[in-house]
Amino acid sequence: MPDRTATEAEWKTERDALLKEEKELTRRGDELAERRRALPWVAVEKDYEFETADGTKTLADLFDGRSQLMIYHFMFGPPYEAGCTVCSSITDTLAPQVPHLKARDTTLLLASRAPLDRLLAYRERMGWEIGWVSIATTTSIASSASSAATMT
Amino acid sequence: MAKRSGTDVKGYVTEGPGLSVYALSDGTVYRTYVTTARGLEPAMAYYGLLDRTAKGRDEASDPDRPFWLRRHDEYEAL
Repeated sequence: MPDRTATEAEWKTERDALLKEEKELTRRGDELAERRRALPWVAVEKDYEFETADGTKTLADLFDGRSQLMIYHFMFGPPYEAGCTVCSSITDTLAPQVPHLKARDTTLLLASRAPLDRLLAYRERMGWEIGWVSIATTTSIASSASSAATMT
Repeated sequence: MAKRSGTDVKGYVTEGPGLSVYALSDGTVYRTYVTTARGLEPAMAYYGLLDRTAKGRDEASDPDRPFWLRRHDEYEAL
């Protein structure tokens, strides 16, 4: 059962008012994106090592010839038998974006702490075409992400 | 949540989700952005789409809320 019904004309009046607010939010989002891009850069001092399908790589190697790198820290730790369900739903969104981001000089990868063979077997099950690296040999890069938890 | 990943709560919380963005310039890697929690919603396309339906995310009606999400090969005959 609907909470409220309206005629087409009444609906259009309310929808137009909402559209105005949607546009305000869009513009506010653009402003926020600009400020996000204006944040200062922080040099990464630690030498991270990653196990990948092509051998051990550094963080700089993971850029794969591009100048921007986006890493999603996927919850798949050493005790896990399968990847986190919510992270899996997120990767359903992320994986198809890989070619589009490549076209904008950006490499998108998943990183997790479980051994690489378990990550790649799970990727096969889920049918994702996205690079996945294991950070089993190093301190988690997620620590910096976790410290941002209170910001959002 | 922990059980669905084949671990217990203690094992599950060893991990946290996050999106980190880096830039490579003159051989130096810089971190330019990091987010987590609801900052990850742009990577959850279903939420933006459900937000445009009458029922929305409909998480309050689900006793298992908000963890209604399943792996895409685990939904049963929906």
